[in-house]
Amino acid sequence: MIIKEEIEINGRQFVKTYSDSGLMIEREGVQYGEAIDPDGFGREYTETDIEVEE
Amino acid sequence: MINLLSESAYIAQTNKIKTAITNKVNAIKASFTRIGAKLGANINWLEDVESTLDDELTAINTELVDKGSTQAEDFSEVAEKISDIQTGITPTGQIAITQNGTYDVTDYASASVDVPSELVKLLNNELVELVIVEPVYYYNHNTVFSQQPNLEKVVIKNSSGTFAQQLFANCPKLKIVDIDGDSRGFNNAVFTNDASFDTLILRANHVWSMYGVTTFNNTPFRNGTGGTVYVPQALLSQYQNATNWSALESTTFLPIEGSIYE
Repeated sequence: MIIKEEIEINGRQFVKTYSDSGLMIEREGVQYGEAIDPDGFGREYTETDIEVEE
Repeated sequence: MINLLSESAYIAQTNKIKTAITNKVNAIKASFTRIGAKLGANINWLEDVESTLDDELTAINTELVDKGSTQAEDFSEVAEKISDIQTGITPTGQIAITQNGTYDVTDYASASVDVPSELVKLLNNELVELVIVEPVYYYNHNTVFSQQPNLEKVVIKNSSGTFAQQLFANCPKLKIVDIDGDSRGFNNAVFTNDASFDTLILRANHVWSMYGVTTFNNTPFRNGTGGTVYVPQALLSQYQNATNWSALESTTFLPIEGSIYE
């Protein structure tokens, strides 16, 4: 399942997205272990079946 | 008592003996003729056998010569191939080719190989500056350039593929990485524990993807010391809002144009 968390870095708001199953996530054909985006961009991710690298 | 024959009886008796002798002689002659014929036939057979053997021996000899010639050509080809690769390999012996096809390559069990001095430095942890001009595929293999205690600078002119896990990790003196080419992504922990790494130049006209902020764990880009990423002016705002790039806690994005790296 995709998890989203609001976090703050240097006073700026971000959205951290990751898989609670330890899987890579994907957006527009690019895969990430986790994705941290500035708040307000509305970037959506899907879960892959590839395990994240340790 | 002496029995005297008449003249006519004597002549008759003599002729009878002559006839008998003549018959015997003729019989002997006939026997010799038959024996001679048999001997003649045997001699012809032996001559045929000898001729056949000569032919077969000639054929065998021709075949051996042909095979020897073919083998010599094969060995010659091998020698040429070895000669072709002698740029990188220095033979420690010679291949002996003889007409009967025996050869000895045991001396080739050992060979010295010339490798680029940069690779020697890499293997000996002596590498200080790494400049890669041609497209190579090392980037796809984890940790290839990691744990270089003296590596300070990396310049890649024509990158390709995704930079693999920990590619440059654990290089304590690495300070600057300058990349141009088609590569589009950093995998996990590429620069982890590069405590001196504070300057990254990305010259491509596209935004690189990043596995996660863990790509830069324990580097000045995250640990508060401060790192700078130089990118094309046209991409500056994209990097500042890009996934994960924008979340590097102590990173400044500057344009290449107008900088000392232009």
